[in-house]
Amino acid sequence: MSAFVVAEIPALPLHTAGKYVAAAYIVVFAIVLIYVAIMAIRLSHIERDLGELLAMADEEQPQDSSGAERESAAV
Amino acid sequence: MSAQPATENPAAAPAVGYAAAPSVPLRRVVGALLRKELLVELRTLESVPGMSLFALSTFVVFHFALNRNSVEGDLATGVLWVTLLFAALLGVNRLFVADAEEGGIDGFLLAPVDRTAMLLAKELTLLCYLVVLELVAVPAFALLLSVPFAHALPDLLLVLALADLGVAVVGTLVAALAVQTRARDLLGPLLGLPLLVPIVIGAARASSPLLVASHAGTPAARWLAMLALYDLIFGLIAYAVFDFLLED
Amino acid sequence: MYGKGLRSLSIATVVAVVAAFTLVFFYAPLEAEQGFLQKIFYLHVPLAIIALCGFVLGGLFAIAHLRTRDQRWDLRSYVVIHMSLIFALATLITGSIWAKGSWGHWWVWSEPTLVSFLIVFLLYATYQPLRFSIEDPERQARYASVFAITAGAFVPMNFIAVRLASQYVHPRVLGSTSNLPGPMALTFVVSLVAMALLFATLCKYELTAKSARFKLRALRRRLAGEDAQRRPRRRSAVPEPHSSTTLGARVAGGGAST
Repeated sequence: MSAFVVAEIPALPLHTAGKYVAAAYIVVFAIVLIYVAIMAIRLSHIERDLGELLAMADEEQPQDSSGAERESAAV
Repeated sequence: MSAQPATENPAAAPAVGYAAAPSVPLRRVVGALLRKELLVELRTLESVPGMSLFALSTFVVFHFALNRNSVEGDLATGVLWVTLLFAALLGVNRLFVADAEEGGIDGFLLAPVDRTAMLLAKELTLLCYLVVLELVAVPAFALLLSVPFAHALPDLLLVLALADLGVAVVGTLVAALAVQTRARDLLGPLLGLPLLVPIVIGAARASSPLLVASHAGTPAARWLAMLALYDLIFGLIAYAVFDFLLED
Repeated sequence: MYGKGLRSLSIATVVAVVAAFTLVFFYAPLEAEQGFLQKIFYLHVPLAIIALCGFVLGGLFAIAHLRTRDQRWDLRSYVVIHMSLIFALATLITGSIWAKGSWGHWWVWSEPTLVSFLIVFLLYATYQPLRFSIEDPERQARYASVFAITAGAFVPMNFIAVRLASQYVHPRVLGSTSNLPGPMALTFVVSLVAMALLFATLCKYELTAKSARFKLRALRRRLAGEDAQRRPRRRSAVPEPHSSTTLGARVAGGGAST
């Protein structure tokens, strides 16, 4: 016996219900993705600011060439 | 509170610094503050006439908006409580403004008294405003919109009293929060309306059987209990957090 | 150091969410009355529960802040409330979709959870305007904490009130969490755990990003301070990606905040 309350209209057929379920899950997914995008933008700001600060620090104490930024896949 | 005998002049209390226990009983401080508030209101007539006038105008607006000469039952409670709520918010907006702008709060902080006194005094002030508002608005409501409730008056007064207590407590808290912000006129109602929804629920449901012409019922105990619980919980919370709002 | 446990937390979240969705679509049986539409339940109710816990947690963090005066509690309170607000919005949207699917209306007043959520959402939506209209940072944190405590206590009160108000109007439409049959109960619990982990991960993520930004600002102040004291701003002959004037303006302005 179902523990759920009887709905006052019969259950939707699968192809209609499927759209609503998909919509609900898509909404949640979209919210999480929007959040990821916002964090990505913030991260790019942080990277830019750090680059500036590095430049400022270099201005004060010019590093030798070995301190120059090495951008490579090896970390 | 302190059981020491009250001195006539609080300023003459032993000057042992702010760490000393308050030398004036809470009752007297609250009484003094309340007297000041009511005196100021009587002289400036800032809040209460405005609130009452607003309520009357709102009843007229409702008459035209609903296109009815009389209301009863759920419709009547809706009109009454919405009007009272919005009129109360007008009073809430102005509650701390004079103190904030003219240094009343700072002056109070310098006195060696318990800061809760200001909370209690402001709550009682708002309560007085609400009582006066209702003395004007409720008869006007009965008159303008032909609402029949004369026989249910004691019950209605009980509901009004419980609701007023809740509005006074939450309104004071919201007023204190909003007064230090830049958009105080906007934030007061914005903060207050959601917080006051349970009062509206309880008061409306409780008074709905009262505003009926045929045979008035009695307010269900459930709603009165809910209103009392709300008043108690938020009374305690306001008491706990208010000090933090006054610091500086 | 907010980023410390972030990796393990996010891995746990991925595992939990994948497990939850798998259970929802491949394991949980179809419910007799609502059919496939009921699957939204595994999304909507955990979102609701976690959002509510988040709001109450924000109040608890606010109490800690007022007690200890440690700004970090205020930061945690802010982040948790912000995230709960987003989860509450998701609750409202999924609830509305569910209502449309089962009742044919996008909004139903007879579902007390949804109505309570609307009120709570409207209340907490004022949190950020309140914060940003107080300029003094210490006062802003203090007032925000008072609000968080009041609102956190309001949440259960509101639920009681709305539930009382709806009780005798309609039976619960969107289903309840009691008396779930076995497989459904398991799926529900896993979904709840997944949502809780997602919430925790996103909050930690947010805290880490904020902390990074604060440290950046402190570093900038320190560098700019030394610069200003040691020698006047000079134009270097070395071509820079940004012009010196831009750099100078940024130093003076302290950086824009996102």
